Amino acid sequence: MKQSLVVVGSGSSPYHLVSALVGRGATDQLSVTVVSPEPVGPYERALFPSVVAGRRRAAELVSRPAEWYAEHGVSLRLGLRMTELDRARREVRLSDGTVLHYDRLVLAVGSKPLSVPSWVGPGSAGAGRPPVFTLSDLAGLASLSARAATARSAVVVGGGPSGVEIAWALAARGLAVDLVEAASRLMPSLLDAEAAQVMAARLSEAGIVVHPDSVATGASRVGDGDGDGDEVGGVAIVRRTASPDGVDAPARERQEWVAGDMVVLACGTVADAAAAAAAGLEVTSAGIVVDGSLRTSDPCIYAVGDCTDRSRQAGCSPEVDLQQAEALAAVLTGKQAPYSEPGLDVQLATPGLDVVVMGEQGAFVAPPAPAATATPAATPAATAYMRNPLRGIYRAVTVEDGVLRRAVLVGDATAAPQLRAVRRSVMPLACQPVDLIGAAIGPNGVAAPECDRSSAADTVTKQTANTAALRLVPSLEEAST
Amino acid sequence: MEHPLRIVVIGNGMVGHRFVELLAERDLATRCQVEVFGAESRPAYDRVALSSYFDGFDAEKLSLLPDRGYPGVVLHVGDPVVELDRGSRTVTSASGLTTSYDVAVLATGSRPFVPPVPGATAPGCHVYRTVEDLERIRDWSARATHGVVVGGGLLGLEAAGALGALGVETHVVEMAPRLLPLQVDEGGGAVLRRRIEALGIDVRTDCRIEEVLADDHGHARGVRLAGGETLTAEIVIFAAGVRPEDSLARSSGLAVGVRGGVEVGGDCRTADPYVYAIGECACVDGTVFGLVAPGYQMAEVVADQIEAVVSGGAVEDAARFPEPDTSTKLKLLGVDVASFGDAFGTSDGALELVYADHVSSVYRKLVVSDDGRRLLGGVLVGDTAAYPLLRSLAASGSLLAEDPERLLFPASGAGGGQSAGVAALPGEAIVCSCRNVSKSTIVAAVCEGGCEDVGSVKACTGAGTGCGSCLPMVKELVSLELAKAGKEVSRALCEHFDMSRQELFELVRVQGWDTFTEVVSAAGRGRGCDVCKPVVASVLASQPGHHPLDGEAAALQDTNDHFLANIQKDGTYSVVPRVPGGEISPDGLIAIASVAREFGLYTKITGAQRIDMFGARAEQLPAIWSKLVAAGFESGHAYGKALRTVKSCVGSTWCRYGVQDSVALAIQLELRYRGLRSPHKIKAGVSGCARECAEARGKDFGIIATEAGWNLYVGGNGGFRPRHADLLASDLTTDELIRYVDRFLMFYVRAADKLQRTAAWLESMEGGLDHLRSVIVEDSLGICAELDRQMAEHVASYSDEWKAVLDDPAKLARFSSFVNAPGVADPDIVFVSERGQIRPAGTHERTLTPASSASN
Repeated sequence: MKQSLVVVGSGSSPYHLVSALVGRGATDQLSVTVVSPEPVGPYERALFPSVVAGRRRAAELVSRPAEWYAEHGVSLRLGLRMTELDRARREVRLSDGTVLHYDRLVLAVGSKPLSVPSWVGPGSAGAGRPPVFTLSDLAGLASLSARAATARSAVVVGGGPSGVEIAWALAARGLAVDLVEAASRLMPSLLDAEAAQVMAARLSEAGIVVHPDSVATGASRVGDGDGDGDEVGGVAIVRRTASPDGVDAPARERQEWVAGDMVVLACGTVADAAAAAAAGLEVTSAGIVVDGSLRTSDPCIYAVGDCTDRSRQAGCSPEVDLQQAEALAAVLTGKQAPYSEPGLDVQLATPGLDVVVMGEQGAFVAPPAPAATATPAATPAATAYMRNPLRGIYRAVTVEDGVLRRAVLVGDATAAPQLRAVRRSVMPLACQPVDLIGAAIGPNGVAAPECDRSSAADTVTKQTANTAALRLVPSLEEAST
Repeated sequence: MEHPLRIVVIGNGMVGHRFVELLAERDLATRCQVEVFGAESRPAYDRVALSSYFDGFDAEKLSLLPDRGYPGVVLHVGDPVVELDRGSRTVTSASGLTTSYDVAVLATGSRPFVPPVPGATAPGCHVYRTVEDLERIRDWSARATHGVVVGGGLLGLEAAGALGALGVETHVVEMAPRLLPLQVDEGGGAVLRRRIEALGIDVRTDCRIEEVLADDHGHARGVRLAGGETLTAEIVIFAAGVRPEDSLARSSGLAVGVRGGVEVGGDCRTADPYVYAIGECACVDGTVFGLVAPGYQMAEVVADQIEAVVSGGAVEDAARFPEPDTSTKLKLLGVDVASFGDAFGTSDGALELVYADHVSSVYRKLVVSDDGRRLLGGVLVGDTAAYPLLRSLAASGSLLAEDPERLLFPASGAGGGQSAGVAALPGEAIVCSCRNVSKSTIVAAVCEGGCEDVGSVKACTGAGTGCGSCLPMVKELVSLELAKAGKEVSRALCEHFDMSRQELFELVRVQGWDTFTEVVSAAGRGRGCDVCKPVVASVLASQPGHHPLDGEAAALQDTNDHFLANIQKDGTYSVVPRVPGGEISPDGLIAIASVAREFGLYTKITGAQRIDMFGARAEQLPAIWSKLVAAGFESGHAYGKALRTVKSCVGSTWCRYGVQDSVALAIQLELRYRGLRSPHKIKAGVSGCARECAEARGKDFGIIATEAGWNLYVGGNGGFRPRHADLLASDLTTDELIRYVDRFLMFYVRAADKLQRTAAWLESMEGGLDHLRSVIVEDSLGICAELDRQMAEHVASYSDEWKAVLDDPAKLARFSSFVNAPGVADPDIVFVSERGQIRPAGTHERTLTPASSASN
């Protein structure tokens, strides 16, 4: 009698998990049921920006048709949410009232918007203001895309990685874009000021106007001023600037209004851990707590993807989704491969603009002020960076105790594979920072002298290269050679 | 003119001194009446190198005054001018001396600026300007454990370094947000700070002194900073800048600049046509310069005008003060710092490329035009290797040949940034800034002057003979130009071998080949030529145990080696037995004399301190040598690319002046190195004292005795391009000396090019003498053990090659004039008599003899 496995979720991690399970022949031992709140089965979310950019249609998102699930003996329940989790009875209640029993449960419920600004009322478009969109699900993607097809301008609220990707995609589509960010630079938790400045310069070359230190306070329509009754949509923003009267004087605030036929919210996400918390699973502000086997505090319940704390700490990137999913599939089929995230590895989905951040989250934000003389034994973290404004390039590495801790690449990511390999080998650098980020690594991708060691590093590099292919390849089996 | 021009120079600092030096160089000092007044109690000294006083505390080493002073110039030391009366055109000094002038040149320099904070005059507070200041600092630091230096510029950091060397824990307090605020930018300042802090110096920027605190005796005990913090310090040095010393000008009614300095125009003349101002005290078109180079330029400008007046030319033709070059390259406490051009990116549209590395503590910033095609300026900290090229590129304003990012990373990328950069320089660009040599001068030296390597370019143009930092660029330029002219740049031997002599040597040594056939079939092609055959012969001969006439080897030799004798112009050969150290016994003299008499040879004493016998026919050589060998003589190798002799002077044995036994050492060395075959001949000498009677400094290696031992000099030669040998090491024991000479010779044998004397080899060596020293003395290449071993092998395997010939019938058979008529003498050899000896007959002296004439 097969054990029953219930997977709840619709994004990248359950997509990869199911693919991996089927690939491993798990359906021989397990009776698998996938519960998706969307009208289709799990899909690769990483392709959202290309749909926004108009390069592909929503229907082309990597996914599997219902027939595939049937063929592979996986039961698919669509359009249903998990409303209750009863751990004692090992049951989940779905939004249509049905109850599923599980021997093992995987929560892959992803994340939800961190906060919704108060000025965004219910509904996507109210009278008197431009429509407001989010990219939390397929429905949102579809309506955003439809609107983007006819809009001339857009305002994106939120300058984190997601906001930058969406702004870039809309600009690629030909819209004039304003990007509003509350902090003094874009992607404040990932980029230092120099890197952010180089990235902002590239964005502005693409027609995206960046508004740092700014908060959106409302969306509205105003007359377009030519007296014929037409109205223009836009967003009111308040910009805080330092007072010229000195550091201690209160900051000035300036009201501005930026035009936009549509507004996209990208103000950050948080793990959707409410149900887990309600069921008594261990949860932190980062998400559902899982161990190296992706097991929660309940031995029969696993979690994977953006809803987990580990994923958030590693930057919630598609790489992490894939690796966690594969690790979990191994665990579920009895192969206990110890798993640990390779650390932060974020690569923006902005074709034509390389932005890569890898390393330990928080290893540095700004280039550190020169430290006082260190104790003889330890070498404190120090950063080396280069910046070429002619080509809009910035490359930085942070080294501590001779080990590469963090790397940031803006404008040119040809050094990324080598940096990944070096970082993952976790051994002291045999070369100087200049060998990693100097001009030898140019647009031709000519690599600097070998710096990495060990075949393990090579394997990981290959895997990383493969995942890039995976986003566009429907079948895991085809890509895994 | 009725009387000689009376020139009064007010100030004897570096620039005032330079001005007098220029007058002397141009022969004006004696044609004018020059009087110099210096305020300090010492004559002019190198203030730029002031901090070096703390290495050894010898102020005399800094003196710029030539040994003989200024001929024809009156110098008043310690007697400043206190009044300049422009009406009567006189100056009056502190001692009361009044002198009239036709021309007065103000060169009063600067005075240190002390911030007006309470307590700044307390004992324990110092400035850092004169030798006396430094002497006081040295004395006071004996009682100090902590110190504060006010000012984080060039002088302040030097002062901090000096205090640190004196054992004082030092803080540097700088008002600006960074160190060296005038030379480096924020990023460079940050990296510089890391490096300075790594030396144990505490750095405070954005920090002002508010008060110097005193103890009960009124001595400095600390400083209070703005913000309240106090730093303990028993010594406080103010290095917070200088102000032009223009008080004389002010009191005499001359205009001064807004921030001080005697106002002058581009010709360095004040509004008073009889008064000039040069150096730090001058304000040229609104700017005061705190560097010595612009001051020297001003001195030239005024000297030009004086020269014009004296020689009757028009003053207007004289030079004007050109746009000064404010680029600087410094070494500060071991940290290299450079800035040039528009270092702070103030030009319109300028963009900055940055490499800031806090891991290796290196900073490079390039300022480029908005299209990236021109380099405008830059800042370098920690690594200034690219400075010469970058400075030239920025100064010339030429279009960059490649992506400026490649200039930011000179070491990486195919071909590096250097060669393309040098090619892109326009002709007027200055490549060697020490000697002011432009690219076009070097190119002309190569293309028209026949210079084919760096050594000859150095000799012809002077480029690279100053600080030497431009040599990589010079080398690139030479290669580039030779390549353009289609000339062979490679060190390959010839068309038969692609490798250089050095590479071939290593290969032969490692593979143990001992015939030309083996060598050319394995490492070359074809059959060889008269270029490679002698080289291969030399290489083979340098291997231990090899005889130049062994088997095939004989055929490789040119005629000299072929007969182990020197061929003369008439087809006869000379015979030179070895006389080690030039010491010969009466019996030895008699033996040589009887050989010469028996064979009717001409004898002469050579410059190498031995006896040469001329007029021997090829077939007579074995007979001559067998007599010499029987008398105990060996081959002197006068015919070979080998060690010739080690000359000696009389030395301490007999000579009143000798301090060491030069003869014994010379003999020991000659017996050690005899037979060593090398890329070119090796000559040596040993002198027993500094009078140098053995002329050791004109030798490939030369030794001069000192009280404490031997000084070793290398790389000299006489001949066509004489060169003095350079001091490699001093006061060596005999054992040390021999070890270093062993290594020097073996290194030379292995590494030099074909037919390259040691002098040329050293000239072309990267890093020059310093590199050689590091290889030989410090074993920086790790090859000394091997060199020692190879020399030991040579010594152990030495045998006289003439004796070997005499013992080997096969070798003996070669010694005939005509291969196809072995017993027949060469009838073309005819002698006549002169001064009691033979000499070759001149053409007019020969009688026609039939070809079949019998032998003599």
